Amino acid sequence: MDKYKEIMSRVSVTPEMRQRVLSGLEDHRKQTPQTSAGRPARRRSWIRWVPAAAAACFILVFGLQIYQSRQPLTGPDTEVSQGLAEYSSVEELEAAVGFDVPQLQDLPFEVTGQVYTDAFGIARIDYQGGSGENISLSKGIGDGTEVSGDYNEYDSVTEESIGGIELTLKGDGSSMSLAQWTDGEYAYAISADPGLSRENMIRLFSLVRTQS
Amino acid sequence: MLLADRLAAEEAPEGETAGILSVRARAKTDAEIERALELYGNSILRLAYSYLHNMQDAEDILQETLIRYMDKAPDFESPFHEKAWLLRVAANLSKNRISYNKVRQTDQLQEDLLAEQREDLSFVWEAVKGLSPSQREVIHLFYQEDYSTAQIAQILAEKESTVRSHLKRGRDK
Repeated sequence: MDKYKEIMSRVSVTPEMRQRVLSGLEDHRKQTPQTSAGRPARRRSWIRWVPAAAAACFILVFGLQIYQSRQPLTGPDTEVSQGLAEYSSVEELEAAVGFDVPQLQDLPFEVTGQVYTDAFGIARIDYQGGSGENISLSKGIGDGTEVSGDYNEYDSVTEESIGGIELTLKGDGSSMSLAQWTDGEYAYAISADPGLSRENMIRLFSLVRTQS
Repeated sequence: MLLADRLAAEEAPEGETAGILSVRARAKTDAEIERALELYGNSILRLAYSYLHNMQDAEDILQETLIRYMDKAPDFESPFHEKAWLLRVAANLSKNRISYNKVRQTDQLQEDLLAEQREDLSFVWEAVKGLSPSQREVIHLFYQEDYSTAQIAQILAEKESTVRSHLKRGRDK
């Protein structure tokens, strides 16, 4: 496929494009407030507890302000999880991505291996079977985030409303290869190879919903 | 062992030294951004073009990728890891743009090939464009960037068997 490289040689960063890109980056830098460490500032809030008094009494506080702690500011010694990383347990994966990761059970094959991956902030658990079967559960932040990594075109794409959630099912009509949905805060996907029956896919979806 | 570490330790192309390119977690300087643009700009642009088939869209992806690079400032264990990270970000941004139908229609590359009367290249380009995005990205990373299927699997966070399947189907078509 040397022809492919020859084709792509016509696509390159010209001096004009380089200037436009650098100019755009400079504009972005000016528009983004920076921390003292030179990183983009992140909004943070705190959970502040007023501790109950000693065991004998309770304090009623009026006008108590409670914030929920979210993302800590990163500093020069903090490694940003923005790469590809494998972990040995769901607990380690949850610590890496910063949110709870649901798990699947009662899969239609004997699970011989599980792989826990943080792919650029998207948590993914791969359940592998001894005959090459694979079911993946992915979860990422954002209701519009594509987390499955599956951009194939399927013959059958259906939408079902289950428990107030719009579930998108994709497959070949007789089996489902992909289920996608969002709860407004996170995006989820279940992909299966080989595909599952509609009933099994919905059962797994419901299982994840109970853990969300 | 982290995937990123395996990328660096096992898959570094011949010629790359064992020295570690360690970037502290801090905002990138202008010099570092320009260096990244110089080293990886064409690779990012070409990968984006393979998805979007439009130069303006591909340029947008190039800029957005470098903005992520500037803001996220991750630690890289090697230049190989650094490039893999950038290509992964560019792939995700490109696919998101396709998903939200924000792709322009003009394919300047095809127009150029036809103007040059390079029917042989035009034929290949049309054939690649006709592949699914999953097949196209594997074809591009394999033939343009010379990555192995194992490396492609790690970049795209897919099983190697899936990558090989996409590659075979893409070749067959």
